[in-house]
Amino acid sequence: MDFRPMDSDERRRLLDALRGNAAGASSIKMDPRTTTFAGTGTMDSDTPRGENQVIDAIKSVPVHYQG
Amino acid sequence: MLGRLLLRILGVGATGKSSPVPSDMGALPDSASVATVEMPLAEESLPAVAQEAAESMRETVRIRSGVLRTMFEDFRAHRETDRGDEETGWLLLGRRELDGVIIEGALPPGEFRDAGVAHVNMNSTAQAVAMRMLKRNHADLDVLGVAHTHPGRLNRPSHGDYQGDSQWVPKLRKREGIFAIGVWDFDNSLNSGFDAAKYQHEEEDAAEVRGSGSSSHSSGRARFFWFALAQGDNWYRHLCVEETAGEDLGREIRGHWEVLEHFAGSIDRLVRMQPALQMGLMPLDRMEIPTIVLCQPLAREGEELQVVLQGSEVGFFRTTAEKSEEVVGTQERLDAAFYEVMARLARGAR
Repeated sequence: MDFRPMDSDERRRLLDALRGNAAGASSIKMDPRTTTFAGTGTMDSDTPRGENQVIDAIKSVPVHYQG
Repeated sequence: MLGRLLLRILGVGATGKSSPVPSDMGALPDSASVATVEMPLAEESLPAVAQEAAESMRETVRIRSGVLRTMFEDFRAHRETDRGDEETGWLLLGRRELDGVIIEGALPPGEFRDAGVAHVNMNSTAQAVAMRMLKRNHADLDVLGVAHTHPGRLNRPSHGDYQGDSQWVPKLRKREGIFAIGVWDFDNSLNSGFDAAKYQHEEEDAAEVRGSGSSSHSSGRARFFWFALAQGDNWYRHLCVEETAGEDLGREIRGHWEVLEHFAGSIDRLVRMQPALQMGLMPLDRMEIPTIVLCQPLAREGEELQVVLQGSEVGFFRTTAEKSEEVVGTQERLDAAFYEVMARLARGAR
């Protein structure tokens, strides 16, 4: 395992990611091979939706009404 | 009858796993065509919010040819029924990928839909049960939007549609939805027999859809127009949808829709309370009548309760690798009979 201090750019990106994650706005990505920080993503687009969320969306399809 | 049925079911697998979707899907009928319609409204006239949303929808949107075929076939069949003057619709399923969106399935509104000349409310309980079944083999399948028809000539969503859809899209992934409006005989508006007075309410709906790059798909007298709506949009945008090869993931389950819809309420309640309950479709080429099998593991290893649903009939069978015994449930409602049978089995009785 290669331990080394983060450079300033890496530190800034990680802090931004942690702040975004704490605010509930973004996910933190990890490289599965090296476990290194791999950037951020949007919670909504990265996280597979649970089945119950999908079912809830289906059950709340509105009436399509002209008028 | 259900006893004989079970033996046949066991012969094709007692787990209730569904077979692959039949591969007899052909191309669209010869008369099918795709028309791209450029709309003249300039995007610079859009409010900032709508322009941002339009940018986000520049991703490719594709629809499988099998899904289009389903929609055209259903629309034609619907027009020939005694409910042909009513609206009808489909729930659109698919996935949002990194490079775009793909519509992979369409679920029907069901016989128990509430519909009229100016509205349609689909049987969402049956669609929810169908979705749970589909997600066993397609875990990332999601709901993308809704297609519905207008019996007159209104080839875009109405104000009434917007009232509902704008409240609904926040429940969708990326908080935006795909919508289609189906119109019959749109290209033959001078044909005799069209009663304009009957659809006067459509003429009074003067909203304009924004953006360019819209598309429609047509086959025979049916035509579908495509739109998108995201959270915060103040109206729909035109959407360019490209056809791509592929089957309708909902096609197999549609063959079982009558029995699924008959028991949908009970199945929905059972699935929510029994996480180990498995649902399976018996392949239509192996059964004379569409059949659904529910399998509930029992306490003793290797034992399960199989619930066979066929038409309006229900059969309960305690099944092991070696044998199967019928267990009688007397309650009329499926989920009540299920718990009655489970209680009897827990007491060691038949």
